[in-house]
Formats: sequence, structure tokens, C-alpha cells
Amino acid sequence: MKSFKTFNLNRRQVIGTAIGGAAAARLGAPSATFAAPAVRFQDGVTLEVWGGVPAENGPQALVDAFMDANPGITVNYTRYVNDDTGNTQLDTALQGGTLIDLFFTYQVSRLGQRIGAGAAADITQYVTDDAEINEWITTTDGIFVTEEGVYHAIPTTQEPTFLFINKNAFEDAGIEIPQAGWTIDEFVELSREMTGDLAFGTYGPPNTAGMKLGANAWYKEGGAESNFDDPAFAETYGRHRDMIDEGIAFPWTDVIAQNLRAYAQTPFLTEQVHLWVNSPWSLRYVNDKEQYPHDFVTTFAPLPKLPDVEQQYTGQGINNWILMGADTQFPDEAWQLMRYWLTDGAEYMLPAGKIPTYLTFDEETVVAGLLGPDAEELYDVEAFRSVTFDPDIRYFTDTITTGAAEITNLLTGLEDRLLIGEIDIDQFITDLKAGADDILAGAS
Amino acid sequence: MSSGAYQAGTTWTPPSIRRHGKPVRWYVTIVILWVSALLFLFPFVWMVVSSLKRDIDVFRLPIEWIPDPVSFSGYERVWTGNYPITRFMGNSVIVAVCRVFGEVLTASLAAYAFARMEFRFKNLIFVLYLATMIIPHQMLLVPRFILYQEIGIHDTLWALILPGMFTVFGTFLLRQFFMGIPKDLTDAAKMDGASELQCYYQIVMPLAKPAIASLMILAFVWSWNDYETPLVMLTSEEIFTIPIGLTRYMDEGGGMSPSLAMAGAVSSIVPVIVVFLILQRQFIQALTRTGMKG
Amino acid sequence: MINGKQKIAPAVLAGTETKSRRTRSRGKSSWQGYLFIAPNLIGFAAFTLLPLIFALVVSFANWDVVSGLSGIEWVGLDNFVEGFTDSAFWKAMGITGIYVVGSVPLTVAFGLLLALGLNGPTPGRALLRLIFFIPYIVNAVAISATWILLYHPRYGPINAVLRWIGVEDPPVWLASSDWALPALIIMAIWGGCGYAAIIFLAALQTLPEDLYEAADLDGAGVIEKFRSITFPLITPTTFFLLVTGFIGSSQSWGMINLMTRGGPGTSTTVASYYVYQNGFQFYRFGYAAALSWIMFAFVLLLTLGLWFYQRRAVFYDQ
Repeated sequence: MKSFKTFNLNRRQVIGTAIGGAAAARLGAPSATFAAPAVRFQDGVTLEVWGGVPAENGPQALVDAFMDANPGITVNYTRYVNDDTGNTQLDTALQGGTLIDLFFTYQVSRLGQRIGAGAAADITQYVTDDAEINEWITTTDGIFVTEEGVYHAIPTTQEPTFLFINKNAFEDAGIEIPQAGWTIDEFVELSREMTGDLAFGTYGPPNTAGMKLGANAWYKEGGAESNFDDPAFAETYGRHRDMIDEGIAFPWTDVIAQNLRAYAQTPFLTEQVHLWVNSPWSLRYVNDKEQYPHDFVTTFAPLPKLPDVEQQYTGQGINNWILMGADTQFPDEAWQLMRYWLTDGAEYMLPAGKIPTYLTFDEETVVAGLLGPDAEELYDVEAFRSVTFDPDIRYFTDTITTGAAEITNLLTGLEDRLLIGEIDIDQFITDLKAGADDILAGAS
Repeated sequence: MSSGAYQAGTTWTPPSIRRHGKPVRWYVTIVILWVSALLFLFPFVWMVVSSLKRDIDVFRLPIEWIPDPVSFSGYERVWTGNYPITRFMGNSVIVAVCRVFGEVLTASLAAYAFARMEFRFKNLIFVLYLATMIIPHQMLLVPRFILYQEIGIHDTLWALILPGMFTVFGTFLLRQFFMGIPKDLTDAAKMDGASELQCYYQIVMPLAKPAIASLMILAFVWSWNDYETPLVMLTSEEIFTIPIGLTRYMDEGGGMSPSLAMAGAVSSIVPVIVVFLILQRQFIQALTRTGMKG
Repeated sequence: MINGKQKIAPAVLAGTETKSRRTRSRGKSSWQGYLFIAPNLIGFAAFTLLPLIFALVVSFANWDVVSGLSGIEWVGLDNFVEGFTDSAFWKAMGITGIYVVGSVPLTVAFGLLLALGLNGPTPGRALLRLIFFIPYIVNAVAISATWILLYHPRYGPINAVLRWIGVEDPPVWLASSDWALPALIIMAIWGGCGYAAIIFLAALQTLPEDLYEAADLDGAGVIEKFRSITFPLITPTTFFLLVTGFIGSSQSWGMINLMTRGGPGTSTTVASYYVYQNGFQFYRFGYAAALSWIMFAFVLLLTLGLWFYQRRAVFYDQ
């Protein structure tokens, strides 16, 4: 396996006892079932895997390849919908009676919840016994480990954040495409210049608070009080509001009215915005020539630099954690599949826009897998390569998740009102801080 | 004096006006009805139009009412894609039919008892029924999940059918109707020696056909569109119903290609429309045959 | 079988059910009554009552579901105390109140008008009924996607029409804290009146025509006939629709989840959506259960109020 340059990542961070969400989840005995699991009686081993990615987008190919390489193991991939009700389906399945050997989690708060509830098996032994994996895990940022040094979850995907740029629009306007090292002020200026009669410069500015503060940005030291009085928050949300007011960012009333949120591909691909902060996950829409035909080339730029910040973050890019079910009857085989998903199997997930965390493949393979067969036609491939394998990429991973879901809910509600003009930035910060502090106070 | 019996279910117009043609009021009603109908149809039209567009065109603004270019890819994927809707339709039909028949049977019996029979605690039990309708149903999802696992119907179609067969709503609806049927009819029959069951079967049920038909169509629609229950209870794709089947096309963020979603919605409406039209015709016919002719 | 005209005495229009005839046969039909309700009652007890009791029990605990039954942590009345002092919850109850009062009576009223209109020999009657019923049939995902576009502030047809008739600054509907809830109310009425119409139609078609004939003999006009015959006789149905409408409307959150997610801000967070958030998003199933029982108490009081009112005002045949 040819390994290539590792990312500059921070030292491993440790989970405090704060993990577990707002309700006091008991760290119950892992085998907390109330119904005896069905007995498996086939010859050979069967593994049940639950994941959120549709099977035909990658997981099935991965699973098939694994089965070919390991005759005697059958793998069934069950797809669950990664919304609230679907996650409840997974949770209710996990708590007893349903056989689950491996499952995926996609939100940090749910990750904390499931580990805290004892739904995930202890894989420390497997990790430490495996030389390559052990080395990777101990030198990589963002891998969850409890205070006692126990591992439960391994992230399988990394998602850098960068700019999608409409190359033709820039060329037509005679404006230079931003390069690495550009500043946030230049970002605002460019958005201004690219705003025309039919288009807004940008969909929205990047979240500079996260970029500056990194992990656990919402919390003060210890996690008992919220951190929203930090000026970084006022700065980033205020900037967004100002840009909307000035008319150089996509109007938030449209975002709410059309329920666009994260699905901003239509404004970008219909050339209503030219600068779009996003991650590789959205490549699938740009790749889809049938449903989203467009005739411009997409190029890329890294996130702009913040003044006075030594090392800034690229976002919480580590995700798609794979965990072993606490009740699994085939831990050895489950570990094999886990390892495969992390390493060789990751190739099959590339078309879904998933960059592997464990770096088995060379750049060519990764880029080709992500950009698809029409890469040359649709993209500035060189630009993509440089933002994806940028040595300055720095991820953070939150380790405190107290009240995360409630705070997210509060934040979204207030952000909406701010960006559609119903409240101003001062009131936004005041309400946000007060509300978040209430939530944290109630959670202790 | 009226010139002979007329069909029940029509608006009775006084003889004087009938001889001179339709009143203005009648025409105005027609116009209002059709204009309102067009307004009601409007969103449905947009659904059909969107189902024939490419994804990028669905939300393109200003709104294009004639798709250009027309794209059948939504329907292609729904009917012949990785998860063809035919498989799910079969399951939806099985579940809906079982539920409807079970519900009509148990609810009509119970409604008959509540409406026309006496037994101790009758009112108390009925208030209990009413009360349980008030609990938000999503609170029952998780307890039901646990219950179904215990009794072994989890991940089977029975998890969808059984709870739908014993509802409070159906009982309540039919009870109201049954209470409106004159007691004299059944009293007379009883004096001739009919049992309660015969009264139920030969007198009350035929007269309540419109109500039964209404309950059937409503129960059918709810079963057809039920999303949460199958989502939590079912994991095997072979037994998915339509709403869940369509989620297979959702990406891991919960988003779905809009043209596909619209094509799925249009495709899944068709059987319901068929059922509706059949039942509509049924109870118009039923009235002209039995009717409450004087 | 029955023949001969039925003379329905004026006494019919007056009272509640009389018990005189019943007492004679009470003993005899008592066990029969139980037999009739048995299938429904047993199924109901198994599939609704049992889970309900579980939900009641767990409201005295903290539970995040994923911990399994051994993760239930008993806290007594804490959840209820918190619920009563939770200002977000009570704001949600207020919003629910507005939503229910705004949509249910109008839905029932429009449903009745539709049913009256569709009851006569109108041309294309079956098709019209279908059209008005279609909103009820279409699944929620499609409806929400459709109405999202209709409500679009700049390009949506609704605002286009408003501008055309001279409204200069039409509301931004779903993107405004003030207008999002009215937008949802309008949708609810649109979606519900077809259903109400179907039920009313069934009721209208069961009405005996003798009464109308008698009224015409007395020279009664249309409004008069409606007021003294039709309306009183369909009060059981009206009552039914209002009660189930209030109950159903107070529970509805699916459309809100699809369209506004409770926003902007919290302007469309109705109580049942808040309950859903607590149970499914915040992992506080016990608290959610407690909140739903508080909601239950409220709606129950309301329903009982309506129930006692109907014993006076609703006309059943004796």
C-alpha cells in the first residue's frame, strides 16, 4: 500500500465525561437487551451492517468485494435513512433484539449518545494489536477515545471544506480566480464584484468562528457555559447578515422559503451564485450531467485566511464513524470488515464523495473516483487536487456534546431570524448566549 | 305536492321552480364550485409538471409551467430503477386492504354497540376511547416497537396491519352515524323477533353505506400514506410499502431528487384515485337501490 | 321489511336519547354489548392501550431509548415540573392553540359548504368530489414541496396574484415569523376540507326526505330549510368533525417538519413538534412523554367540554 503525505493534524484529543448528551445517559452494561437475540445457525458467518449511504452508491460494491475476498463471511447491508426518525429506528434496533454487528453514525452528538449508552463494543484490543491501524490512530487527530483509553468508533471519511467556483463567470467578468492565501476581506470584495443583475456573488460566507476557534467552539472550558460571547461569533454571523443586506449574498428568505439549507446545488448550477462554500459531498450533483446539466467549468479555492490567526481550521471534517455493535457474536469478523472499510474498501466509497481517512490510495485514484469520468470536462482538476490534498488542512473534532442537539436547534432558529432581518446581530448574540447557557444549566 | 319519489341524495327543489327551469342560485353554485376546484387542482398540476422535469429545472425560477425539456427520468427511476415501485405497491395494497376490512368489521360492530345497545360502563369506555385519540401518536412509536419485538411481528407486514385494524376513529365515526338512524326501524324489527346481530346486519349496515364507504376511503388513504410506522418497524426491503420504498432514493442527508419525488407521488396517487372512484360510485348506487324511501 | 311512511314526530328534533325503552332490555343486551365491542376493544387494548401505559410510565423517567430498558432512570415528577415551567413548551402550546382555532372551524365550515354544493345534481359531481379530495390523498412530501414553491416570495404564484390585485408588498410567508403560521393554516384548510366534505356528504345523503317535503308544504325557503332541518340533523357529524379536527390538528407536526422545521425562529413550533424534537432529536424520551401527557390533559378538558355541550345541542333520533 502506497501511503502518501499525512495531514497536519492536531494531537489526539480525549473525551471527557461530558460526552453523553443532555439527558444523563447511564453507561449501562453493554449487553442491555431485554429479548434474547435470534440465534444464528448458518454455517459460515453473517454480518449485519447498518449505514446511511444508499447501498448502490458504494456500500454494496464494497461489501461484495469483501465477500469475494473472504468466502465464508456473508455481509448484509441495511440502509437506514439518516433523519431523526430513521436514527430512532437505528436506536431502537440497537437497544435490543435486532442483530447489528456494525453500524455507522453521522453526527457527533449521536455518536456520544450511542457510546455512552453502551451500544458500541470496545475495540481497543483490535486497534492496539493491529500495527498499522494502531500507528495511524495514535498519530491522527479526532479519533474518539475515552479517558480510560478505550476505543469504540473509527471515522472513515474526511470532508474538507473549500470553495466551489464558477470558472467561466469569473473569466467573463475578467476577475482573477482566488488562490491559496487569499483573505476573508478579499472574499467579501470578490463577492461584491461578482454580483450582477442575475446572480449573487456568493451563497454565503464561510463560518469563520469555527475556523478560528476549532474544537468545542460553542463551549467554554469545562463545557458548563456557552462561548457565544466570543467576538468571533458576532463577526461571522454579522458578516453574513451584512452581505445579505448589501445584496452580495444569496437572500436567506429564499433559502428558508425553498428549504434549501445544505442543498444549494441548484442556485450554483443555475448560475445564481458563483462562489459556494462546500465539501466534496456535493460533487455528486456537479457530476450528474443528466439531472444537472450546466455548461461552465467548476474550479476550486481553499478557504480564505483569517487575519491574526496562526493556524486556522478547515472545519469538522471527520465523519462517518463506524462502530461495532455491543452484542455482536462475531467480533473478529466484524473487525475484519471494519478494517476493510477503512482501508482497501474505501475505494468503493469514492463515487459517493467520501474521501478516506486512512490514506491507502494515491492522489490519482482518489481524484478520479471523486470527480467521475467527465472530470476534464466539468472541472479544473488541478485546482481540485490542490484543495483536497492541501497540507494546510487542519480538522477539529468536538469532544463535548452536551446539549448539542438543543443548541443546534436554538442556533438555527436565531440564525434564520437574523438573516431574514427580523432581529439584529446584538440581539442575536444576546439571545443565543442566554438560551445556550440555559440549556447547559439544565443539562448538568 | 311532489310529483313522485325522487332519488335520495339530490337537493330538493320546490315544484314551482322546477317547472320554470334552474334557478340562478344553481348556476352560481356551479361556477363557484368549478373555480374552487381549479384552485384545488393547482398544486396537483404543479406536481405533475415537476415530475416531468430534470432536477435542475424543478426549482428554477421563474417557474416554468411547461417542462422544457420534458424528462421522464423521474418515472423511469421510480418504475424501473433500483427500487421499482411495483414491488412496494403490492405491499401497500395488501396492508391497506387488510386494514380497511378489519377496521370496518371491528369498528362497525363496536359502533353499533355504543350507539344502539346498553351495557354497563358504556359511556366510560367510550370516553376512554376518545381520550386515547388525544395522545400524540409519535409517542407510541417506540413503545410499539418494543411490543412488536416481544410478540414477534417486528419487521413483518402484521406490524402495519394489526394496529390499523382496531382504531378508535372508525368506531367514533360510525357511532355518530348509527345514532342518527331512527330507532323505530330496529324496534319494529325486534318486535318481529330479529336479534341484535340481524338488526346490525340487515338494517343498520345497509343504511349506513355512505358512512361505511367514507370510512373505507379514509382508512385506505391513511394506510397508503403512513410513513413513520413502516420506517421504524420494517427493515426488510421486500416488505416495504410505498412511502418507505421511495426513501430508498434518498441520499444520506435525507434529500431526494425532486423530479423523482414528484414522479413517485404521482405514481402512488393513481391507485388511491381508483379506489376512491369505485367507492364513490358504490354509494351513489347504493342509495338509489335501498334508500330511505318513504 | 319496513314500509309505509315514517312520520318523524317533532319530538325527534328536541331531545337527547331517551332511556325509557332501553331500561326494559338493559339486562338482556348487556353481555351482547360486550360481545360486539370485544374485537375492537381487545385489539385496541393490545396495540394502543399497552403502549400508552408504557408511555405514561416512562414519563416519570429519563430515557434516551438507545440505552435499552436498563437505561431507564426514574425521576418521579421532575419531568412534569419541568414541563410546567418550560416557557418554550407553553409558547408552543399557544402556537398550537392559534393553529387549531384558525384551521379547524374554517375547515369544517368549508367542508360543509362543499358538501352542500356537491350534494345536488351538479354536472361532473363525481369528478368534483375527487378533485376536492385529492389534497387529502397526496402524500405529505409532495404536498410540502408543492406549497413551498407556491409560497415563494418572489416567484410564487400566490404572491404573483396578490401583486396583480394591487398588494404592493406581499408577505414572505414561510420566511417570516409572522406569516409562516398563517401560511400553514391555509394549507391545513385546503388539505382538510375535502375530507370534511366527504363526511358531510355521507351525512347529508342519509337524511330522510320526508322532512323536506313537509317543510316545502309549509312554504319554507332554502335558508329556512337549512337552518331548521339540515343543520340540526347533521350536528352529530359536525360535532364529530370538530372534535376529531381539534384532536388531529393539535397533533399534527409532519407538515411542519417538512416545511419549516418549527421556524423561522420558533414561530411554527407547535406543541406536538416540540414533543417530537425532545423525543427524537434531543434524546429525552421521558420528558417528551411527560409533555404529551400535559398536552393530553388540556385537549381532554376541551373535548369533554365539547362533549357535554353536545349532549345538550346535538340531536339524535330517540
